[in-house]
Amino acid sequence: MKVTIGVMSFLCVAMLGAAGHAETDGPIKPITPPTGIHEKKAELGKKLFFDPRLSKSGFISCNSCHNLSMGGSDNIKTSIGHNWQKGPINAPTVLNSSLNFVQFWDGRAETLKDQAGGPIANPGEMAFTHDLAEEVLQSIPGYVADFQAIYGKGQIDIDHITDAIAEFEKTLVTPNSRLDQWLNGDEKVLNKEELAGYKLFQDSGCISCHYGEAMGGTSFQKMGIMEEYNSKSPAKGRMAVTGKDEDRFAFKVPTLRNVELTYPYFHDGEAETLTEAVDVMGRLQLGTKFTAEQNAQIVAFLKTLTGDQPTFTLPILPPSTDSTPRPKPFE
Amino acid sequence: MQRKKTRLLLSCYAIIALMTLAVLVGVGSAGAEQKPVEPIALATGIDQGKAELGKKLFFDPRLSKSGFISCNSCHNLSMGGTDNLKTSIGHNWQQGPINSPTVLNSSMNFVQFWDGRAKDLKDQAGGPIANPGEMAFTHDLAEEVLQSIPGYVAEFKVVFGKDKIDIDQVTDAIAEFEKTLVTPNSRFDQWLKGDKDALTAQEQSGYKLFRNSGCISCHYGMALGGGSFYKMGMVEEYTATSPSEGRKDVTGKEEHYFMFKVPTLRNVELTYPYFHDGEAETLTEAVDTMARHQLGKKFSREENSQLVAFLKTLTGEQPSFALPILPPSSDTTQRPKPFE
Repeated sequence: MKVTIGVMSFLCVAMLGAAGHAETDGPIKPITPPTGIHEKKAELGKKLFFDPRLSKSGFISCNSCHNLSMGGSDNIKTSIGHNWQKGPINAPTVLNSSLNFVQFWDGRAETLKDQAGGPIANPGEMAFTHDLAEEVLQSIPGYVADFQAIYGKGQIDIDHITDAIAEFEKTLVTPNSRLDQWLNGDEKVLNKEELAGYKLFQDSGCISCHYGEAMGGTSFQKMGIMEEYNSKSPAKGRMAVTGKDEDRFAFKVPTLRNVELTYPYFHDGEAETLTEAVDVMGRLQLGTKFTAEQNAQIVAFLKTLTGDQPTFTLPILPPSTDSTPRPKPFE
Repeated sequence: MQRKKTRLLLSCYAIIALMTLAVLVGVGSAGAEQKPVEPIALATGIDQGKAELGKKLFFDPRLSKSGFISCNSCHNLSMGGTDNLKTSIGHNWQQGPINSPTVLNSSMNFVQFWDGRAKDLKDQAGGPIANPGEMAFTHDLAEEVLQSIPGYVAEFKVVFGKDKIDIDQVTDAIAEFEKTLVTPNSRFDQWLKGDKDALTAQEQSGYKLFRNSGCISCHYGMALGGGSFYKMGMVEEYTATSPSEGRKDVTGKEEHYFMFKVPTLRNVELTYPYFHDGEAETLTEAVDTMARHQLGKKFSREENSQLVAFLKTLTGEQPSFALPILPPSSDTTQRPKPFE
């Protein structure tokens, strides 16, 4: 583990020596705008993402917990589900989620499409079922027409629903953060403190887990490598999927993109501020106790990772009909 | 016998009143109508900066105790300005006592809330924030939260010229945004403006019935409603599933029992379910109930269909705007308390 950190750090320092040139080939890459998006599918997916009729209560939509006005998450420790149930784990941001190698903290979904079906049918979240979701949408002429136009079928199924939602989510990348502008060659866009923070980020070893276009989202790592992490969440991480003891408390490394917006931090949401999060990460993952100054530099750097937020028109959802099953918020 | 007589009398009064109105309105005319109904006019004189700020606030769940409920939660602008539930879900999943009215065209209401306890949009906006059954916050805490968010402090400064954010400004901005939420160009409005083909024969029959039966005596004006209080259950008593006593809750007067602000019929196709208790699931049901309880009439199936067809022509252009991006909290912002 320490060897890995050392190697990564060396590489990063070597590259930093070439400061002033575009660094698009380093371990951190600028976010690129999405390509090959099926526009109509994404439009349909957008409606579905905002549609609370995919929940039992008719009140909770994907946007409730992955709020696109708020950095793609709900900014609470764990989410509120049907009946105000308290969720077990912090809602990850949907922003740049297309860059994750798997979905969910424990990686149990391979793709965005796989993930989208999860909360719909989770009794602690939207508390609906796939069958009921299909039934509701099938009763709404506006949706039937959309699905027909895109998928060429009269029958709406969960496969299409999640496919459309995933297509929309692929559009939710956030390019042009100040770090990306710097990586692309704009030398003036980061100040001294932020650059110092970036250097520390590499030298200390943060980058050994938080690397790539998403600065995370590409591997499972144990939460509490050097020092044990006492979590408030019951989640066991990857072990819940593989059953292997060595996967206990291994979680998908979250993206640091837009981290300034996605408080609170960690799978249990227990770090309220970046200062706290950096301190915990330093101690538990790297065995390093950052000074107040170092911490401030890293936090300053992390705040440069906020990219252009998604811009789109609020979707107008097609109305239900007389035959649409009614929501059941209080049953 | 006495009851039957009273019903008959009431029905007669109703018919006389609306026959007068029918004369005023004219029958089958596609010309620009005078007062009884008129096309929705575009909002004018909007302070754009204030409305933009109000938009953010409208979508901001940090105005609630849980950090989860915003104005948009129950007045959902993707769904006709309501939540499409009988009564709303509040903090802790509390079941609300009354159906959420649409925010669309709410600027046309002569007062706000079903019982008219708020005189304008600004007054109304502060209500749900501090209602323990809804957003469960307080005005003081709302001010505190916003004051700790640099993005908001800057914007309030630009719009109101002050460093200190107060609830007056908060609700003023929200109201300014809400004024922009009018929905012009419904097919009915197009027909009113002279496009004779904008309504089908069935829909025009529905409009004729709407006038001749007396619906228009309460549902009149630009908003086809929102202009007066009327008793729910004028001819036949209405048994509600809501505890609300309507206007009496505000004035304490017995004669105001079950008087409610007549809701707008604009976009009624989108704002199901209907009535203050949300108990009519469909327009067909609502039209039938209105006729029996308010007019002492039983519509035939054909008449009901015509009226429903007409009501569906009242759907205007929905608000079109970019989803607002809210300024992030800072380290000092009070954290939401969803589970305490």
